[in-house]
Amino acid sequence: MDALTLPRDERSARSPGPGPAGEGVVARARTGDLDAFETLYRANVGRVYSVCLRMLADPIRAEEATQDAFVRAWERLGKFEGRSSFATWLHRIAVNIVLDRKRSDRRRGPAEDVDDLEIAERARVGPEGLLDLERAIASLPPGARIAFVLHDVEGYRHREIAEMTGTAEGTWKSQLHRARRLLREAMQR
Amino acid sequence: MSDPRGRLHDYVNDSLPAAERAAFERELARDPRLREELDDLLALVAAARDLPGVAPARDLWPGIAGRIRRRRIVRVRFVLPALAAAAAAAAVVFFALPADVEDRAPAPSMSPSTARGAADSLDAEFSRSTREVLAALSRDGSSLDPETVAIIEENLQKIERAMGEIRAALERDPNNAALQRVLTAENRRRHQVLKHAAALSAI
Repeated sequence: MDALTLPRDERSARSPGPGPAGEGVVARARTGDLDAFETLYRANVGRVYSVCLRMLADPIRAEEATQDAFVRAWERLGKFEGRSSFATWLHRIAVNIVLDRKRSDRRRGPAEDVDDLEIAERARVGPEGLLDLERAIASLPPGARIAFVLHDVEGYRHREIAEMTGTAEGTWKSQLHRARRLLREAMQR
Repeated sequence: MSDPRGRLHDYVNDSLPAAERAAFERELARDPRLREELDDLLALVAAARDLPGVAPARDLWPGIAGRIRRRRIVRVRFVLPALAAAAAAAAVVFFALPADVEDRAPAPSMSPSTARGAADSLDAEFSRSTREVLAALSRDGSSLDPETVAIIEENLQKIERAMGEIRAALERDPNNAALQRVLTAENRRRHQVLKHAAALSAI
């Protein structure tokens, strides 16, 4: 799990994971200190919820996935070896939970097949036709949305996405290109 | 060069080999339309990277803390009694034994066969406690993940192997006080591992 690298995670201003002082908090949480774990929750919930929301495009399911991610992190704290930051480790747990949910969704039935033009139209929202990128991302088909969020928003590499999903890199490249094309078309309208 | 638009994304992703990158940049200098497409793409990627974090509409911590506490209660209800019983049995047997079995060679007043009998009894009790603790740890509801249980089992097996070798040596030399001490020390190590397992599960 720790082998995954998140290029921007470690440098992003949005990544408030524990710094040197936070390592002590992680150590306390590992001993079962729930207050320490709450501190970790407060420091990381924004980033975890953001990736869940953008991948799932559903606030309720994103909240559920966020809660699942923290509960799973608590249960697995004993396995956290500190090879990556706690924030990176937690982020990967959240992404895997969302990917598991998407797999379950696929088993239940095919994803909504939406015409590309309709997607671009949905994305054109807001006053004076300004693009709301968040809504545009939410309007993307699931595969393209996940590719865009993981690669362009979160900074995962194609190889890493392929490893997490068990799907060929080429598939994710195609999905990313489709996502970018749809979003650019939406921006140009 | 083939259609340079096919390389737009790889260029943005910085995944083009040096030669192809140089060729693409030459194409960029010649083709304003391509340059425009690249700028659009770069703007999109930059906007994606700059998206701010989104906070959930409500505080999710109470739900998370509640789930964690409920799991702890389940664990205490189903796992700790078994662990406590096993650990208590181990402790009782361990500390009820004559001090000379625990800390030093059999006393001169104790015949070798008596000391040996006490050590065998201790050994049997620890083996039973070990089995009970491991069974409790492996049951559903245990807080310890399989990897941790495997580590505990591995440690116990190492101690068991060492004790087997000592027992074999004692068979050959039943009156060897030094071997008795080593056997007792190994039993103590096993006791420590069991206590560790119980403590870990109680976290």
